[in-house]
Amino acid sequence: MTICGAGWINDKSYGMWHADTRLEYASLKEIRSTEIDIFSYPVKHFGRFDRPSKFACVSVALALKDAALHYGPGNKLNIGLLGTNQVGAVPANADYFKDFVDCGRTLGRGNLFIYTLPSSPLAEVSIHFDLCGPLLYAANVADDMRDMMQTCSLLITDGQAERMLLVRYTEPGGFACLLDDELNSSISDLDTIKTIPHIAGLL
Amino acid sequence: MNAVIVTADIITAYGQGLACLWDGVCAGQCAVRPVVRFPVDAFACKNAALIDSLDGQAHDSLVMQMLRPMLEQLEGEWSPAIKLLLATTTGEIDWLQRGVVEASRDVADSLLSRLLKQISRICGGLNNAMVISSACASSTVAIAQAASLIRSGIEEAVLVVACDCITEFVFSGFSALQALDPDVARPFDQHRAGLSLGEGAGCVLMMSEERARRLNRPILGEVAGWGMSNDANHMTGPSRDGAGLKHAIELALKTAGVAADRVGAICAHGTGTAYNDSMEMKAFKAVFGQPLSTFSIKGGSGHTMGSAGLIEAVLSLHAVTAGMLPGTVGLSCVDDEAEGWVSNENRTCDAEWILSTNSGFGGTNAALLLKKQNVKGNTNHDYLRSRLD
Repeated sequence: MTICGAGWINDKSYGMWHADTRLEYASLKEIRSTEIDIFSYPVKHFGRFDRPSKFACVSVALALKDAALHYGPGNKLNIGLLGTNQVGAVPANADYFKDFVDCGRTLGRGNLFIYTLPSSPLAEVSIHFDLCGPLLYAANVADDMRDMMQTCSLLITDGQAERMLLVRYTEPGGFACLLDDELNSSISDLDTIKTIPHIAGLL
Repeated sequence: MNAVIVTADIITAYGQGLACLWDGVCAGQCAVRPVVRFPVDAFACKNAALIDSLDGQAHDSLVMQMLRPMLEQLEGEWSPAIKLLLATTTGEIDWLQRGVVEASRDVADSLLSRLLKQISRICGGLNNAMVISSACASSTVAIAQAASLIRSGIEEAVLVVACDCITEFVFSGFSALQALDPDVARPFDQHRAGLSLGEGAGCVLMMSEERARRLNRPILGEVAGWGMSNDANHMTGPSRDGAGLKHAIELALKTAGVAADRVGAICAHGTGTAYNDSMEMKAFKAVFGQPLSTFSIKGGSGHTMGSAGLIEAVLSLHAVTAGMLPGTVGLSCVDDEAEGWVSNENRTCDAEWILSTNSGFGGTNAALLLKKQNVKGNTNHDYLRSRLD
């Protein structure tokens, strides 16, 4: 497995791994869908995304940019998405249900409910970047990235996708790595993936 | 290395075991009933396929009440070398509800990793465990991953566990999206108006065929092919043209090394929503051309969300083994698009290969190509019935 590119965002800055860039920002609300340092074209409904979806979307945009991979509307890419974190969708679930209860338990809010799946942030990412490979959330108790790498690797060797994006989204940020199987160097790449949260200041 | 299923168990609103589900859908019975577990006065739909025996005030969560007896009954099956894959969308969501409403629980009790630990403990402490969630295709994706791990030689045996329950959380959310039929789901019907929610759980123990034969295990069937894709289209609706599902089916045929004309039947996702059923028919027609016997069980069992794929895979294997496909429960006026494909009557079936498909929010699609075990002396069919009754 090879890391073709990686991007990350934390509560103060975002950047790319190969390009070794880091840009400061004020707050997540200030990041616009038209931010040319991040996105190639505007992200529809970006302001409506929940925070994990924003983290995932920014991280993936930066990872693709870091890999110099062109994407655009209508240009479907055979790339899959594997998302991971330790909290699943629990914060979004609590937001949805608290709102439902506060509103008298009569009508749920659809635009909160759509984020109540652990895979919801990946769905937003797939729609914007036109990624048509497998989409799944996976996690283990030990938070072991080796398992996630192996799952990505299997999906590629199975022919389910040409490449996989391994995406982590959890407060206070996220990171994404674009993986392919051109070289067989799993150990160094696992080590690399482990270093990205440190570089990103997420640990 | 072929990946085969050697043990399976399920629970649905029809009751414990495959036989209850099989007999129910083959008799055209519907397990969707008025909801009494929580207030539904505010919602247009007041029905769902609930498991009556589950107790919202019990010590165990709703999904653990489904899973614990099932897994404890299989004690003796486990070894530390078995990998565990848990497929679910919301897991112990009732704990989160309690955390919000009563403060008798912490919302963190609904973490999927916590559920994974509990299941692992019941299964003798499997430490090689992972949660997989891909909306309503979760368990289909988990079975695909299990088969891939076995075929690649990485794992010799994988236990796939799937579960999802109905709570006020889930019911209100689907209501808000106006996804529920006010009455009961009618998959592939001209007058379909949405899905009915259902709850259920299940498990399958998969292993390499070599290991199964070495251990002299009866083989229920083979997971021969699998495919996964995404529509990249909409957060809750499928693509209108079925291209994503078509791609997943083609991948399943490819990984199985089987031509489309070898497939004899389809267990469709068939939720009963206008868009899903139409999308599926477009995909099936694009891949297979000529009509294939197709059915959906969701008009009877309800849509069991993350566990649907596992439940339907087990039922599909049983159908081809028994040589009979159930009619589609709730179907009365076949939609023009599905004419010649679906029926509300049971049909005989001599197919060796059956396709089972599922799709979900976010545009996820997954397809499994299942192969019945060549039965000699009928031992596998008898075993399946006796094991799951």
